[in-house]
Amino acid sequence: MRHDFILFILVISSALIAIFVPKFYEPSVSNNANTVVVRIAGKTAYEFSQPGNWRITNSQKEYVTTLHYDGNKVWVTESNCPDKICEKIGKVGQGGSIICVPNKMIIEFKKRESQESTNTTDVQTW
Amino acid sequence: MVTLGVMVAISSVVYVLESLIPFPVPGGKWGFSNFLVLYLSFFSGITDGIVLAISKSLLGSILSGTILTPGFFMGFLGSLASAIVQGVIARFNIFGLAGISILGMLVNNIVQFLVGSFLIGSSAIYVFLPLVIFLGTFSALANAYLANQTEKIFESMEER
Repeated sequence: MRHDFILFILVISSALIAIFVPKFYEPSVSNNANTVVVRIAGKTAYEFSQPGNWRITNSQKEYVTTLHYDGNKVWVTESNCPDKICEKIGKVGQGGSIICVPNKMIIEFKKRESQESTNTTDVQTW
Repeated sequence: MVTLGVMVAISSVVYVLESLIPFPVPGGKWGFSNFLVLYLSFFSGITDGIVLAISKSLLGSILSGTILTPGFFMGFLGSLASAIVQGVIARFNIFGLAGISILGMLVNNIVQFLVGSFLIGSSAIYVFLPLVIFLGTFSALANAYLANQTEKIFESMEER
């Protein structure tokens, strides 16, 4: 079937573009001044930039997970949810995120507000 | 009716067992349990496809103990939406089994991600969508092959 083949090529190529194109725009990883943000049900529950272990509880004060932040990467060391998907995601750095659907929780790095001030390049040309 | 019952049983078992197959995206599944939904949508009709999609999600999640969890709602609504779309497109003579399977996979994943992003109140989940669609295209082709083989089995049974 000709239409099937065209559809296959279209879907595969657009998926590949969507996977690889954003990688060129990712900010370069820096080792300082990163802030980890934990959001539960869309609201910011925790924000920290100090390395260490962080015990996360939800709005009902129920235990959710324990995070470890080493100053560069963050990961889940323990979780109350049976799926353990957040633990399997492993260590994530700037630009990455840990998503836990059962607990409606997202762990990610805060985007830098002023990209210009941290940018040491004088001129960029394309 | 008996055939539909057997199909519900097979799909539910595949639904549970396929979670044992590793998938590169955490929490994701290959979606092989959808091959009979595709088969029914294509060869039997939209109603049978929808009935199977609903019952295999319900039975499969009861068996795996994930019923009424957020993941269940994502899978259930995704499967239902894909059964409807597959059934409707199968009525027009534009795509074959493979094309309908790919479209079903697209709808299934997009609906799952919409439900997921609504549940967690964030769009961060969409980062995984392109990779899931890329991998899903291959399982969609596998499902089309399996649906075709199923039809061959039924044809040979009728000849006897």
